[in-house]
Amino acid sequence: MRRITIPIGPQHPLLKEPVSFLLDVEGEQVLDSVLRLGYVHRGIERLAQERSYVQIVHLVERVCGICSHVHTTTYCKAVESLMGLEVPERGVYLRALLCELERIHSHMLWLGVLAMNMGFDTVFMYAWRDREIVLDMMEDLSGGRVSHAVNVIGGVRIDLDEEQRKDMLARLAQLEQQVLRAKNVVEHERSLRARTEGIGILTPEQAKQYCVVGPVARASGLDMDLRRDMPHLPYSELDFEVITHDAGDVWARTLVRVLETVESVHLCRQILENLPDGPVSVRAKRRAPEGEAITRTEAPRGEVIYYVRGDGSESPARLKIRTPTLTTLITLPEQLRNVAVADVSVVLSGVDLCIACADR
Amino acid sequence: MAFGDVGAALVAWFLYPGFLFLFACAWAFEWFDRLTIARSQARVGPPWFQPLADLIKLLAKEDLMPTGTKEVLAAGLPMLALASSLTAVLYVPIAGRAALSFEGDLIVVLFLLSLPALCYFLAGRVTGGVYSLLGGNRSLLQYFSYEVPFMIALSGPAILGGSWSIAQIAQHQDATGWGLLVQPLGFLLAIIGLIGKLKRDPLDIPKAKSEMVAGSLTEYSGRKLALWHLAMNVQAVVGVFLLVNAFMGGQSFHQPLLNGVGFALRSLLIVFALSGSSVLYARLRIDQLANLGWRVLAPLGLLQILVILGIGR
Amino acid sequence: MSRSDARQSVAEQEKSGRVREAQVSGEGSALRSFFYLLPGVLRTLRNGPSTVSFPFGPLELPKSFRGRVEIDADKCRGCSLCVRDCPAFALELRRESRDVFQLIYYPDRCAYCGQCELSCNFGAIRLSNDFTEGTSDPSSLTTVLVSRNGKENEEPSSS
Repeated sequence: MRRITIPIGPQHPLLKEPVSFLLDVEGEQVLDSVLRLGYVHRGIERLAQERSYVQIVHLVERVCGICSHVHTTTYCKAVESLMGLEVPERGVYLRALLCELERIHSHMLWLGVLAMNMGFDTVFMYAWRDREIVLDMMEDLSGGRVSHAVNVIGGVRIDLDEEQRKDMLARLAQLEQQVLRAKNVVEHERSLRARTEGIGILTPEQAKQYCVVGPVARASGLDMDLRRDMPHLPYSELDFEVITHDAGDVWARTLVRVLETVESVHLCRQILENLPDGPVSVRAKRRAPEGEAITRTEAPRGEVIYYVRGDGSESPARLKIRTPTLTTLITLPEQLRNVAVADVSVVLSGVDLCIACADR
Repeated sequence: MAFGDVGAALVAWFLYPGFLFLFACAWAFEWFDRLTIARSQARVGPPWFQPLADLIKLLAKEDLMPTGTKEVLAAGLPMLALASSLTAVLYVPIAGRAALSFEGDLIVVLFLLSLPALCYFLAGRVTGGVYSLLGGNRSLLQYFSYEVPFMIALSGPAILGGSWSIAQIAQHQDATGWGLLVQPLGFLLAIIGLIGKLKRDPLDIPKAKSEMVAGSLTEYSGRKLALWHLAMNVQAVVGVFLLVNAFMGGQSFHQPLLNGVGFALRSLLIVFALSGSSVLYARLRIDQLANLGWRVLAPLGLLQILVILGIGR
Repeated sequence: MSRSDARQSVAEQEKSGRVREAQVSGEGSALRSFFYLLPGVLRTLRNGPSTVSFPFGPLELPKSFRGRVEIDADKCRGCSLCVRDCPAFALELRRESRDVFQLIYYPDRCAYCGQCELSCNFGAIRLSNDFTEGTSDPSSLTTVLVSRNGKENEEPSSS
């Protein structure tokens, strides 16, 4: 059979963001693929060198839409460590609440996108309808559905009174019911499992070699989760479990993410029930001293690393962001080897691409 | 020919059961299908005039083809697809009355209803481009997987009815009993075959939006695309009418109005089955469909035929 | 690490808690797995559409919604803290003297982040719930929020 080249992207109904895969196809098998990035590069690290620390909080939020809060949290933690500030406990808990809500949001969005790319429009619509509950909660907390602008250097800018807290708990109960239903569908629905099992396999050795992080690594048997491995508030005081699977295919990733969503709902409930009293932020100076700071946080897609170097002025000398999608993207040519063309969409969705994160 | 004959022929061509009636049925089918799917997915769904509005909008759009495409072929293929479905309806009884009928017209209708699949494949070849070629190839592969079970399933009512004419089959079922109840397995296979023929979810593999962009129709736009949508919808309507006649009888009352209402309700039942299967299942892979078609559906069809031959005795 | 080693390390850590192997809970019946979504579909049909009918119906916005920037012109002192902290450079202060200045707002550059509201020490600038703003000419959106001419306070005007 002839060898043809199928271009997936930069414009393709399968992709949410522009990225280019040139697939080398013979018959129905993909032989090789070439990955091209950079279509959404906005130069955020360079822009950060011209703005003050206060302005960069909002700049960094716009690296990615879905994991925006995690980016600001990690950045604020880096600057706070540089300035030697300690965020009060209530602020830390509220930051974690939004992190977990964002994780739920990201995983439900991803479930819908995976279903849509498999032709399962109904699960797509249902997952996104239930995602609306999370988005409404986040909008009531922060004023925005996707971009929250909750973090300031030194803490958070929002607070919950008793009535809002009870309202959040009620909505969380509603969300939990829907998430459990989604979990049941993913576990037992025949066609979904038939399309995702045995495809896009990443062995534990390959995952370690490519430095994969996040749910993709956990689905390949690597037990890594920064919330548990790096002891920090509030996770060191909360009861949750890290989910792993040893198959390493798209079905494993689906199962891991759905069960993680259930764990995140439990985490949100614990945070809301055990919210400590006190202030939510401390006042921060405008200038950071000279020094370096590196912080890591567990984003919905894995480990996010921020490096900030201060030089005594109002603006950092260097800001460096390492996002988790970069590590999973480079495994794709490996995963796409010897996969049928029909499974390419499933493999690409299974990895949960966030190209805006990868390109910055 | 007398003037009255010509007038009657023109009415039959253009009004009923010709173009206007079929186009109205096609638009109603698309609207009903989209509404059912939308409501099942917690959405509102389109207003009743949406398919007509889509047609008018497409007619106003630019009609652009890649260089090197033979325009005559690209325009002629949707016309051939539409024409074959329109011809097929002549032999399918609507509310008990068929325009033409002869012994063996079931075979002719099956042949005419499979012409659009061939036109779809050729359209992919003619317009070129990677997605069109792949979509066309897949549509041919899919054709071989569903057509055999479909034909086997439809020959069940023919054997039981003792005739290869659709009108006779329908009349026999009115007298003895609906094929839906007597041979449910055959009905199920016929529905699956119809889903494959119409390239609907879960068997819309050739035009999977997330893989093949739009299959053979990727490069089509404007009037030619409007013609394709019309051809697909008319093929769907004729397929539904065929299934109603083959499995649910044609004419149970002796009043034309009640007949019409009964026929419409039976067609709606089949449309619900089609929309419901779109809602409940994910898209199959092409090799999973080939497996399903040859290893499960075709043997089940043969089993059904054996059961019928046993009953017939 | 081979797969068996990975499984062993996961098993060891399971003894110390906080990790769990993902498993499908319960066995669904084979027949039910064909129609798994059917109860959900019937429930959806009974509940009706989950969509908001905006713009054909009203849209509820929470109190904390971050919309267009508004100002209480009397409170503004022209200190330009908001201008300095805006990440999108959407605010501009044109100053001639202590009492003669103009604060100009460019909504097409604004990112609706709310930093100006946080930075203002006098509670003058804030984000409203207003968001319906669509135009094909971005320069028509530019608003002069505060315009001071000497000791008299003038009304703010839109240009």
